[in-house]
Amino acid sequence: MAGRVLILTSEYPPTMWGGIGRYVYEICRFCPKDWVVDVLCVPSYTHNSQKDKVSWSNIIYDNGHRIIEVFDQQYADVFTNVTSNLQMYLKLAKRVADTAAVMLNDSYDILYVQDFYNVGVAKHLLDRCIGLNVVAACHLPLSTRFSYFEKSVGDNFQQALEAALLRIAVRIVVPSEFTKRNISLIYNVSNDEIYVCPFGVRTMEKPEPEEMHGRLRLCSVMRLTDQKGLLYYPKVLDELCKRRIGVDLTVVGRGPRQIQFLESVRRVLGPGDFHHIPEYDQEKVFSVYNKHDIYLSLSAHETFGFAVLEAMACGCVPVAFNVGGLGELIADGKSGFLLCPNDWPHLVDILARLYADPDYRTEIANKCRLHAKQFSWEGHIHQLTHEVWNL
Amino acid sequence: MKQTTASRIQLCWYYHAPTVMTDSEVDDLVRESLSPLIDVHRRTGRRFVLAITGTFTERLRRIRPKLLDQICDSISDGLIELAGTFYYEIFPPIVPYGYLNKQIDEDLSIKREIFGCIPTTFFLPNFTWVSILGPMLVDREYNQVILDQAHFNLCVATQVWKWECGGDKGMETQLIDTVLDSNEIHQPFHYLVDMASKGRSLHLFFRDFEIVKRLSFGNTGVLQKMTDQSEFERVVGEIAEVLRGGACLTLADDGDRINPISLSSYELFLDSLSEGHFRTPAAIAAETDPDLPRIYYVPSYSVANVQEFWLKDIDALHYTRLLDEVYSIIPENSEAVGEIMELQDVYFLFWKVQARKRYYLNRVFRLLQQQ
Repeated sequence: MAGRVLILTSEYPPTMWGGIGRYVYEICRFCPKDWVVDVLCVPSYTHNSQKDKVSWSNIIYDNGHRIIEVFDQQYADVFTNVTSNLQMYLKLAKRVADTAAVMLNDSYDILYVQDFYNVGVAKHLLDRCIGLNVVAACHLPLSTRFSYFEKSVGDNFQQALEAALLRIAVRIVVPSEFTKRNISLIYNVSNDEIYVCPFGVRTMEKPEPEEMHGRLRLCSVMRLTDQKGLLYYPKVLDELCKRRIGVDLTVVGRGPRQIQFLESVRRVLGPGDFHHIPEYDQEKVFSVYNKHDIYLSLSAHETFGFAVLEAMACGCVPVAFNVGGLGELIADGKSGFLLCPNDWPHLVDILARLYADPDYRTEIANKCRLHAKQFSWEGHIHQLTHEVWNL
Repeated sequence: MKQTTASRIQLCWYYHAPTVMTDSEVDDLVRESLSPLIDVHRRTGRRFVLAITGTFTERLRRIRPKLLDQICDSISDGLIELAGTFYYEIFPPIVPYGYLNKQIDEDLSIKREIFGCIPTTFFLPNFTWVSILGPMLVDREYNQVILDQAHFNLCVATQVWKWECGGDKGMETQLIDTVLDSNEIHQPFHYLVDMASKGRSLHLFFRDFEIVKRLSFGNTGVLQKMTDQSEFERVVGEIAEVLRGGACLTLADDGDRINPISLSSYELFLDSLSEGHFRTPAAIAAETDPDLPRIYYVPSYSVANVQEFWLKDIDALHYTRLLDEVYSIIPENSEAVGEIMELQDVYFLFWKVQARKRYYLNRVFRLLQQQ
C-alpha cells in the first residue's frame, strides 16, 4: 500500500552533490507515482554557495516532489565545533524543525533519515507528529572497523547522534552485508531490523567501439582524503611508467588532501596524461567512465563502492583493494579484480595484463556491464516500498 | 648489567576472535588485517611473532584453511615464530588454577596439531600476568614470555614502609619506582621461577609501550596517519636511535592495528630497518649470554587501571560471581568444562553494553539451572 515519506537529508543536488545527495535524487526519480515522497534538506555543513547567506529557506518542486531546504548557519556549525554538546545541538535542531514544520504543513508515515546529523530534527518532527516512524539509512556509519582510527572533530558527539538515530529508528537501511555486520555489533541493533538494500545504478548504453588508442586509461571518482589510498597512486603510476605502459589518469573529486595528491601525481605523469575534475557533475562523471578502461579503487575502506558500481555499469573494469563491502560488488576475476590491501605490486601486474590484452579487457568489461544490471534503482525502490517502508 | 652487542627488534602481533564473532566478521579481520600482515612480512622478509589464540586457530581451520597453510610455511621458513597464549582470551586473576591449566594446554594442543610445532614463547593477552603462571609455563617448556613495560617497573620496584607518628600510630607502605632509564627494558631478563639460583627460568621480554603508543596504538600511532610523513620519520628515527645502542627492542600490540589504513606505513617502517635487526624471542633467547640480568619475582599484574576497567562495573562483578558459582558446582572433569572455558572469555567484561553479552549470560544461566 502506498504511503507518504519525508526524506530528511543534509545534501540535495544541485547545491550539494555528495553521495547522500545523489542517493536521494535517484530515490525521487524512481519512486512510484502513488507514493508521496518529499525531501527536507537540512545542510550539516556550509557549502560555498551558502557562505554569504545567514539563513536560507526555500521550497522548490522537482519531478512532482516537494523539496524543502532549511539552512541554519549555527546548526551547520555545531558539527565542526569541538565544544558542541547534545543540549546545544538539540536546541538548534528544534529551531530548524520548527521552521521546517511551518513550511511542510503536512504529515508523513515515514521520516526516512539519511544521516545522523539530523536525528535531532527527526526527533522533534516525530514529537510534533509530522512523521509517525523513523527509518534510518546508514550509508557511511562512523565506526566500521578501521575507520575508527580516522576520528573527526567532535567524534564522540557524532557517535552519540548515530547511536540515537539507530535507536529511534524502527528499521535501518544499509547498502551492504559488511555495513550490516558492523552496525549490529557497535550499536546493538538486531539483524531483523537491518535491511540490506544495495544501491542501484543507471543502465548505460554501450558506446560505439573506439579505435585502438594504445594507452591504459584509468579513472577514479572520490573525495580526496587519506582513506581513499591517495598515497598508492604515485607508486602504481610510477611502476606502470617503468614498464613503459602509457597511462592516462582522470580523477574526479576534491578534498582536504587535494593539493598534496595532485602534486604527487603530477610528479609522475605529464600534464597531458593527468586530468583532474574537481567538481562532481553526474553527466560529466558518466562521460568519464565511458572514456576510460579501468576504474582504480585504492581505498582503505568502502562500505559499498557506489562509484565502483557506476563505473562497472559503463564497462569500466574495477581494479580494487579488497576492503569493506567491495567483495559483495566485484566477483574477482570475473567482473573486476580484488587485491589484498596494500598489495599494489600485484595490482600493477593486473593492470599490465589488462593493458596487454585488449580482448580480455573487453571480455571483462562486458561482464561488468552485465553484472551491474543486477543493481538497479528500480530494484532498490521496490525493496524500499515493499519491505522497508511497508510498516 | 651485561648487554649483547647486536641490536634487535622483535614485533609481536596478537589475534583473537571470541565465539560470538561471526564467520563473516572473522573473514573481514583476516582479509583486512591478518592476511595482508603476513603478505607484507613475506614481501619484506622481516621476521615477527604471531600470537593467535587457540579458538581463533580453530576457527581459521574451519573457514580459512589455506591461510593456516601459509602460516605453516612461514613458520618453516623462519619468518614467523608462533607464540602460545590461552585458548580463549581470559582475565587470569579470576580464573581458577585448574582452568588456567586447561586454557594453556588446549592452546598448545591445537597448535601442535595444526602447525606441527610447540611454541616456546608465551604471549599474554592484555599483558595480564598472575604469579602462578611462572611455574606453569616452565612446566610446559615455555622459555620466553612477553610482558609490558609498566610490569617491569613493578618487578623492580622497592617497597618502603612509613610509620605514622600521629595519634593513630599506624603504618603505610608504598612501592617506589627504581627505573633509572627507559632503555633498561631493552634487553631480555632471566626470571628464576625456582628459589634455587640455577633453577628453572624464563626469558622475559618487556615491550616498550611508549614506542608502541607512538607507532601503532589506536589513533595516536603514526602508522594510522597515512600521510603524516614527518611524524612517521621522527618515530622511526627514535627507534633507529634505540637500536643503535645495541638494544633488544620488543614491540607488541593487537594485530588489528595493521589494517588497510596502516599497512602502507607499516611496510615503510619494516623497510626502514635492515632485515638483520628483526629477530624473535626464541632466536634471541638461544643466542643470549646465560648471565643475563635477573628478576627474582614477577608479581601479578594488569596494565594500569585495567583491573578497574575489567571488574569495577557491577555487570562484571555479577558475572564473575556467577562464574564462581559455576566453578563450585561443576567438577573440573565434567563434560561442561569446554563450555565453561568459553565463558571465561573476556568478551563479557570488555564490552559493557553489547547485546551479544547475552550469549554468555544465557549459557551461564543454563549451566546453573542444570545443577
